[in-house]
Amino acid sequence: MRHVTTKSTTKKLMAKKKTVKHPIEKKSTRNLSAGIQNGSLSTRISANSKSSEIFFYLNGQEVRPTAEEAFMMTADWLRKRKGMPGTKIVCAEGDCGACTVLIADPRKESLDFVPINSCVYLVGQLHGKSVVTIEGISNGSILSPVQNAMMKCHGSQCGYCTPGFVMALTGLLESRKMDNIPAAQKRKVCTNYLTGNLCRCTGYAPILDAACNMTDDSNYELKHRYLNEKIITTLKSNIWKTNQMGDKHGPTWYSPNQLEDALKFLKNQKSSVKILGSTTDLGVLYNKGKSQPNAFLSLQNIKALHASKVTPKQVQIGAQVSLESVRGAMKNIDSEFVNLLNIFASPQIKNVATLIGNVANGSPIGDTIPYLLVRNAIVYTSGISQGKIRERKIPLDKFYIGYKTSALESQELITKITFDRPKANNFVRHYKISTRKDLDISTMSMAISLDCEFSGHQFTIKQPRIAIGGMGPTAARIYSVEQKWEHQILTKTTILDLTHETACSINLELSPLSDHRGSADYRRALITNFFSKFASEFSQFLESMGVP
Amino acid sequence: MTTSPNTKSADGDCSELAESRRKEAKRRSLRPVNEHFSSTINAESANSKQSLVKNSKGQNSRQTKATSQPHDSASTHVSGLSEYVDDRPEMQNELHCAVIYSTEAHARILSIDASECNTLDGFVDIITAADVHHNCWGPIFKDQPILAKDVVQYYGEIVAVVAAKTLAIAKLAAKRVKVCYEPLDCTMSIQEAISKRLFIGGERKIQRGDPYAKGPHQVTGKLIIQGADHFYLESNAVVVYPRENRLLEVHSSSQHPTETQHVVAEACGLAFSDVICIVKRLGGGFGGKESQAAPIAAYCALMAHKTNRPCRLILTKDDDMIITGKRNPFEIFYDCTFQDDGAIISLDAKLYSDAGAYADLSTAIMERAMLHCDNAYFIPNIFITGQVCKTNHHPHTAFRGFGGPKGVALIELIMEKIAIQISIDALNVRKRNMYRPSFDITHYGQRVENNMLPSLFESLEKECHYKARRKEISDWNRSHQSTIKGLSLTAVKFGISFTTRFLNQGNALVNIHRDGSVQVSTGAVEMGQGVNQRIATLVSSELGVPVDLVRMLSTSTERNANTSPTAASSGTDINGAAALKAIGLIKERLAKLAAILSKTPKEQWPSQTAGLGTAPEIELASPINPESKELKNKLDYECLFSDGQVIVRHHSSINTQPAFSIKFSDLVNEAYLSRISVCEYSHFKIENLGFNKITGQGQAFLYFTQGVAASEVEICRYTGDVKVRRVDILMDLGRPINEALDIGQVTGAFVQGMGWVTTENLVYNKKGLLLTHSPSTYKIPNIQDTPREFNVHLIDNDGNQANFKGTKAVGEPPLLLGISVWTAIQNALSSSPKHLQLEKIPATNEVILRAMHPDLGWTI
Ligand SMILES: Cc1cc2nc3c(=O)[nH]c(=O)nc-3n(C[C@H](O)[C@H](O)[C@H](O)COP(=O)(O)OP(=O)(O)OC[C@H]3O[C@@H](n4cnc5c(N)ncnc54)[C@H](O)[C@@H]3O)c2cc1C
Ligand code: FES
Ligand code: FES
Repeated sequence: MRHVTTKSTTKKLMAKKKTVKHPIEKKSTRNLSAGIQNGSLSTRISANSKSSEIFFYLNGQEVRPTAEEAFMMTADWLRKRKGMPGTKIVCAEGDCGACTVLIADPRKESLDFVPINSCVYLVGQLHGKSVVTIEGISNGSILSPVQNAMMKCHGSQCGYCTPGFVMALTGLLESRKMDNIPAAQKRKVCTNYLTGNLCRCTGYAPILDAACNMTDDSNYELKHRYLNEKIITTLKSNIWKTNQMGDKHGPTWYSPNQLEDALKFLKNQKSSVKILGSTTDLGVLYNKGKSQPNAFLSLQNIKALHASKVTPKQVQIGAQVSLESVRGAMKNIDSEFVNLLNIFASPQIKNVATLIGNVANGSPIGDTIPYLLVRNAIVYTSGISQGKIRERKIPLDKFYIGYKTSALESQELITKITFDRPKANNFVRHYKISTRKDLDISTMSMAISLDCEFSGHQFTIKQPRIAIGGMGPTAARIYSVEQKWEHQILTKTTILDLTHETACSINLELSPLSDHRGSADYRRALITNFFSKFASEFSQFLESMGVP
Repeated sequence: MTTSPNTKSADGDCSELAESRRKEAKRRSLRPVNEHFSSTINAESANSKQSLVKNSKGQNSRQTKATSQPHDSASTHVSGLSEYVDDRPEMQNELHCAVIYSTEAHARILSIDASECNTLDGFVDIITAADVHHNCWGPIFKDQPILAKDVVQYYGEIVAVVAAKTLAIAKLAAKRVKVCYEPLDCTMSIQEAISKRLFIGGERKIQRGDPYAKGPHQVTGKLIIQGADHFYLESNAVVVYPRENRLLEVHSSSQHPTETQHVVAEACGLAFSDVICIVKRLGGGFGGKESQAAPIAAYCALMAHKTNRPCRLILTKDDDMIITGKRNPFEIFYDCTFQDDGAIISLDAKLYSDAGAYADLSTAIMERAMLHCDNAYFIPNIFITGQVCKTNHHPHTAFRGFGGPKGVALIELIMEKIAIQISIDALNVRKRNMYRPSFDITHYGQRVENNMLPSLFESLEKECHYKARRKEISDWNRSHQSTIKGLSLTAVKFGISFTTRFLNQGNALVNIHRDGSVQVSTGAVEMGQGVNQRIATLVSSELGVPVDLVRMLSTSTERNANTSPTAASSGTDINGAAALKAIGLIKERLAKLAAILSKTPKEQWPSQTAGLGTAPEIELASPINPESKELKNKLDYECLFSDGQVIVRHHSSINTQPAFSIKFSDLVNEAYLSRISVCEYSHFKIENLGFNKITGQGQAFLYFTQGVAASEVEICRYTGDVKVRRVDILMDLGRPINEALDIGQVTGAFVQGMGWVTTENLVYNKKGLLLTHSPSTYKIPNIQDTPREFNVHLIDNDGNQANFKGTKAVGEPPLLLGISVWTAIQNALSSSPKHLQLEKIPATNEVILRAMHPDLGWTI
């Protein structure tokens, strides 16, 4: 439906029909060498990695899509190519959940079915995964417990959102998050799990009732049906293999299993290449005709990029680590980061979207950026220079150079990011305001972090960090204020003066825009109020520490 | 006559047929795994109750049992098997259409150049105004071109349509069409339109009483109400198949198949009979597809007609939101005077609405707004004027509640303001003014019959612990720094009927087949509201057959012509009544036949004799008028349709002989063999309506649906962020046909109303391009916004004589209760010593923050 809309692509689409029957293996090798100028490099790529075609399971059936199909969004492909119109498309931007399907990815630590938005997920990215759609839910002719509950609790009116809700709820049941929790908590768990699904008819109350009334029946567990031994073994033997597909005139799909190959590809591709995190940003641009790459570089088969590590002082997150995994990893380490991620997008988005994608995208309202800035994050990039891999370490506050532009060079990619763990005496707050609290991009956000040094009843600020998003072309630290705060000795009364003064000076320094999310005045008012809120919360903290 | 057999269908063995049907259904299709699944819908969710059975005294007692059957499409909905327009499989030679729309608010079209499309492989055709036979339509005034000719009057107005072999090519072709415009002076606000005197229709007035009567106190002001997008999940969609001999088969996501049929026919230069419009179901409509689906169908039909190939046009959400009109924005100037105790003496209100570029339904919407300025309150002296303004926005249109919510928002705001001014609780102001005995004539001269408002107010006040919570909230607001709370209890009294009399008619076709199964089709469009399930329930209950033997057919102009839109909450009222009328006629014939059979030896029955002609054919006495009251007295027998049987008792032998009983399906077969029709088509009209639009007086409505809601909000003082903590709703829906579906309408409509008054913000640029044109920027309520505690109850009211079976329509009225969230925000703001005031819908975070911190140096 929304594949590339350039002339060349269209021609290619036409041409495609004649070429589908060629063995893909051959074709893709040919194509890749066509896309790469340096002959020796192409030989090395094919020598390094045995490339294979894209392969996954759809409702338990093996599927091998063509290169053209790999470039389609999963929802379009299901509806128009697979004759499976149960999955609905409403927004094509990840914001409504009507297109929700479940995927299980053996690259992940735990092999669970999780909901994702199939409207912003490329078919090519399904490689090595097991996918379940609404068509795969009922067992033969019998409705599943989720479907049953939705029906009996009147969770469906016009029905357009319903397949999406059924899929999300099935994911919830599979996650076992609802096991053994008191009824009162169930509602909250369900609500959080369904944040990514919009319904305009029911007012959600009947859907929540359905969610709280699902019976658990192991006969319906998707794992039995779509993740049996055979499927798991087959998938596992496929995941860390290079796949490459494409046509001289058309899009190229390249998903190597070595970082080096990825870097070489970047260096040698002349046409526009897009590096894929998980396409939750990219997919929207692509669907809306705002980005028309000729080649996709998927990083998902590179094992090293899936790693994350927590050391006593630092956290390190690889390029392919999802926000949901980050949220899990931060649970006992940095609760304010967890709070931030709780209201970030939806489960569907977080299950796949990467932290690095948020950083690389560099939106001034990217939610993690102010927070990572106050945590002194460092971006690690890699590129090929003079035949060798060149690594760079760029502090995040030096990374952005303008609206959605960064110090990342066109031949580089980000491999990981590191940031500080909070020290014992750290006080941190993240504030986000958006039109709607959940599943909404911020109008403005701010993070403040201080290390507090106590001596007697005295308290001194060390390493203050203040970063704001949504007030300029990039999210940025406010150095002038940080300098002023450094070594300040504070009491409950002086914090009020200090924050007030700070808000005024920031409002003089920054000149925010008025847009559909809010006026410049509103953003200024928010700065003032965020600082008042900070002062109030900080005072409470001081009180708890016994500071007068 | 029989009121409950339908409820037996789930467990009672009605007939072998039903049983074998069920077995078959089990084999073939989807069924619930656990037949004993609880049907109460509040089982385990801790905080909310949506009670199905509750009377005004809070006792669980309802004599006449309503069903709680799920929606008739529930099992296919949850399985992804329900078919919507774009789910239709693609035909081999099908074309995909894409639209080209104006990128100016008001401009002359200098040229349309499609030459670059011709080089595009797969591009097939383009149509412009020149291809339209009769390029003019409109649901009230015919003032709108189907494709813009010479000038465009809003950003998003369709200028041309292209078709190609694939959607990708069609979209690319659309981009290549070059349209040159010469911008003209444009009008982007109500204020501008007023100053330029750009109006649609004349000024309307509804008034009563003494213009000089004034009370000692006064509140005045200006209320700004923004529009809202319908945000039906299924964007407008059309597939058109050209059939033989110029016939066009149009599958459209339209709430008004008849109008779609007419507009398509006129656009293509065809007779109405050359076009069939079929609507299986909509993925939501909410009024947005009442009029505006028609021209969209016409774009696709024109292309199909021209190319003689199947065509498909599916709007993206972004395009749908940019192109189609919304709820009309309003600006209202008001002046209200009242006595020391809050009793209103006079209300003077001038309503202006923004119609956008064309009239669409705006004048009718304005009328309903004017008719609802009283809402639940008696206002002795009232002077309402309404003027529709013409601007260069998309033509605004019907949206659930029509004009009602605007009038109601006004008077409910006034209630809060009166309360602030004389320092009494707003609930007391409302109760002081509500319609009550002797104060029950509306400003348009209609008596509020079967008025439940006093008991609704009283019950809800008690049930939601209003007084205790009011005190808790004051304490909270005094002692908390970071949030403030507010509580407000508002009402709705919504007039049911189209205010345009001729729309209040419907028709239905009922076919009973020889195995006893039934097909019903009416003019009602199923869009989630459950109209099909309600009508099927009525039919099954009347015929005494299980509801799964009644199949509701798609809405098609082939079966039901000259229908009204499924709108104004009227779907079940007019179409259900028509179906009942048809059933009544069939039953008369069947009952007579059964009476004859009861006295005929079985060997003589048609099933034994008709084939060989060995007995004379049974003749029924001349048709009886089913509505005549004497009929029942004249008959010497009574006949009961129940549990799949038809039972006849002769008065003469009632104590001496056992009743005669025959299986419904057998009786149907005997009727067929006797050449007695078991099919019927009926037309129904609502009687006793007479509203004169010129004088503004008369019987505008058949009856009123009423309800009350109490909402509690908590607002963050730093950001203006609102949480709806608790909502209690009490509705009077008469005697519901299906309580579960009705409650679903209440919760859904309430949340939709709540979205309109809080987070749903339409922002346009200077050219009138809607900037918030997708869910990433246009924020309808999310599941997290559903009230933390959400209690919905219905009262028991058997007294609605006006409507068939004592039912009351439910589709729109609860939306107006969402206004209680907005007045609760006002209530929270007024708790500050400065009595901060809201003047705007929606109360977004920014609007609230502005109201709360006037000190923060706002520039505008
Ligand atoms: C419905 C919805 C809700 C959202 N809500 C929020 C929200 O609340 N807050 C918020 O901040 N964002 C939000 N987003 C934006 C988005 O989800 C995040 O930015 C996400 O983190 C992007 O990750 P991704 O892996 O999907 O990135 P992608 O879309 O794959 O990539 C984003 C960009 O980063 C580049 N990129 C990715 N990986 C690398 C790499 N390793 N090296 C170099 N470049 C790379 C890509 O080329 C692309 O330009 C939302 C998006 C959607 C669709
Ligand atoms: S279609 Fe809306 S999230 Fe995918
Ligand atoms: S049932 Fe219509 S949108 Fe959810």
